[in-house]
Amino acid sequence: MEADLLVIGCGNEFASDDAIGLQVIRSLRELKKDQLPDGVELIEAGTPGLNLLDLWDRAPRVIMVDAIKSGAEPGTVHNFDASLLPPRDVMPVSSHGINIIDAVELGRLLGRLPAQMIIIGVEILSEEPFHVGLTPEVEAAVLLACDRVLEAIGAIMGE
Amino acid sequence: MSDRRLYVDYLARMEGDGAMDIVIGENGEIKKAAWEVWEPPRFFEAFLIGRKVEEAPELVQRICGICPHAHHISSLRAMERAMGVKVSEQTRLLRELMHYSDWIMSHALHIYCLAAPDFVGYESVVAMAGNPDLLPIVGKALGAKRLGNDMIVAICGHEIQNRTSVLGGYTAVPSKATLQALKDRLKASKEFGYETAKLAAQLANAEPYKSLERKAEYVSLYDPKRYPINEGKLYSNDGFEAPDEEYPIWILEKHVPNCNCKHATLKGKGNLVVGPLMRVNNNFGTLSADARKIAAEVGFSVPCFKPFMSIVARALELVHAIDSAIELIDVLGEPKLEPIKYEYKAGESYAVTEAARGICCHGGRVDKNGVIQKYDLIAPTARNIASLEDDFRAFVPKLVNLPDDDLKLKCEMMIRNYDPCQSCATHSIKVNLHREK
Repeated sequence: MEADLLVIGCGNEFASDDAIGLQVIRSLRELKKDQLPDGVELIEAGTPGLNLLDLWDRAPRVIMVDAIKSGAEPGTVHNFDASLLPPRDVMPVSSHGINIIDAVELGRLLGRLPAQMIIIGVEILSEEPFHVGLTPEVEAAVLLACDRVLEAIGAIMGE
Repeated sequence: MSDRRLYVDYLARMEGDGAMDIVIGENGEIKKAAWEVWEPPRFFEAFLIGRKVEEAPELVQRICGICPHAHHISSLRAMERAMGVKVSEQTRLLRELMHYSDWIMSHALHIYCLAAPDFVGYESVVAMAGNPDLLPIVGKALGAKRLGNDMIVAICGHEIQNRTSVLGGYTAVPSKATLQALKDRLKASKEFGYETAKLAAQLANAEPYKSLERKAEYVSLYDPKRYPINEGKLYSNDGFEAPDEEYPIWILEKHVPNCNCKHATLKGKGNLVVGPLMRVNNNFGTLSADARKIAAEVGFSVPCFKPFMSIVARALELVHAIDSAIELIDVLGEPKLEPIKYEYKAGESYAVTEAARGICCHGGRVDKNGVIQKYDLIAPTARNIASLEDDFRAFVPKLVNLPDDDLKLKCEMMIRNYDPCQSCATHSIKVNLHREK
């Protein structure tokens, strides 16, 4: 174990709003550093697929930040507990068709799920390939998502 | 009367985007059998022009997250040849170990996550892991994939893309202790390799797979003394032989409509296929002793022209890759940091390595200042597309009585036999089946 709690942001830098998970991690690092308790590690994971299981092995508690397409207003920030997952098809898939929900299912079957995991999903608008940068609607949600991460850290660490 | 059309877009468990379109006439004849790749072109060959020669191997590894080292090492060898740069024996061995790490990662991923679910009737590896009998081996497969990744980190200093291997050698080398720790894990994974070969043979020896046979031009690298991964001559089962640097003369590419991936043919021969089954056919004798022993035990022998046996060939290569990595670690002992020396020199050359999914060709021309004037690359998937359409034409009539869903699945499996990587080849999958009633 290298940290008490990992905050893992996923996404593809080159697919517009899909990069939201990465942007949230960067904003936490740059703007909210003083609000992060000791023992919290921030990870920009890109599109890790099943390598998520290896990342999860590193800490007992995890917060995941990723893009989501559930049909809600772009910029809406959703919270899920890993024991109560959203439907598989609302999360983006990496190459070879693996997403967070698959990794959670496989982690559960293999006994490799962190003891506690919260998924924060930001509703996205565009996944335009080879486009760097968030749409204004999703950009506006970055700080809100950061606050949700901090609240989740507080809730988990305060237990 | 209408045609029966099998169309699948965005095929799952593939790298990149493309579609399969098959139209079957009312008498069961194949009117169209096409694989259309829409993954956008990536223009590597164009933007490398004007770059310094040492940047090419660094940049081309970005083509792929599954076989970066095949692209990287092909580029290194071609650029070194162009400038007459010789590398040390240690560098050659480290490059082999680096590339076998890719094979272990890629073969474990393909066999369990991409291919096996089709054979056992599950939608995905996640669904397959729901079967308590298969869960343990899925766990081990992820362990093997992790081992491949960790080997890459040890040698390359970074997950997936390398940071240590450069033109002329390495800027950092792993310690003996690091390599020994990996060797212990490799030895522990031998049993997994053996179980994988047994499982693969069991899956592929079921009907209809074991009856689907088509002789084709099987092309790979070949070396009579050493299983070819980074070096060897171009070779086919049908008598073709040429030095690897001559690939631009022999492997011809053409644009075809509705496909962003160029189709390749072998000059004077026609369509060709590349990949593990082709390598194993052409190089069975230099597989590791244990890989050959396991092949005999599971009833696999060459020549074998059954594309669905690719999963078995891949499993045998997984065993071989584990054995070879152990041997390479022994030979490397305590790697030393060697000075890297070369001078820019004008020249043109080409080189071929074996990516996990088949031959990977790179090369070009460099001027006296080390600036790239011309660059060429052909990824393995590009080689197989035309021949894959031959598989559709040969096998679909034999499976024509299957219901559409099952026939589509079988066609998808024909594609996955070649473990295509559209992103590399740009270059996917969507299956469209259309039959006349």
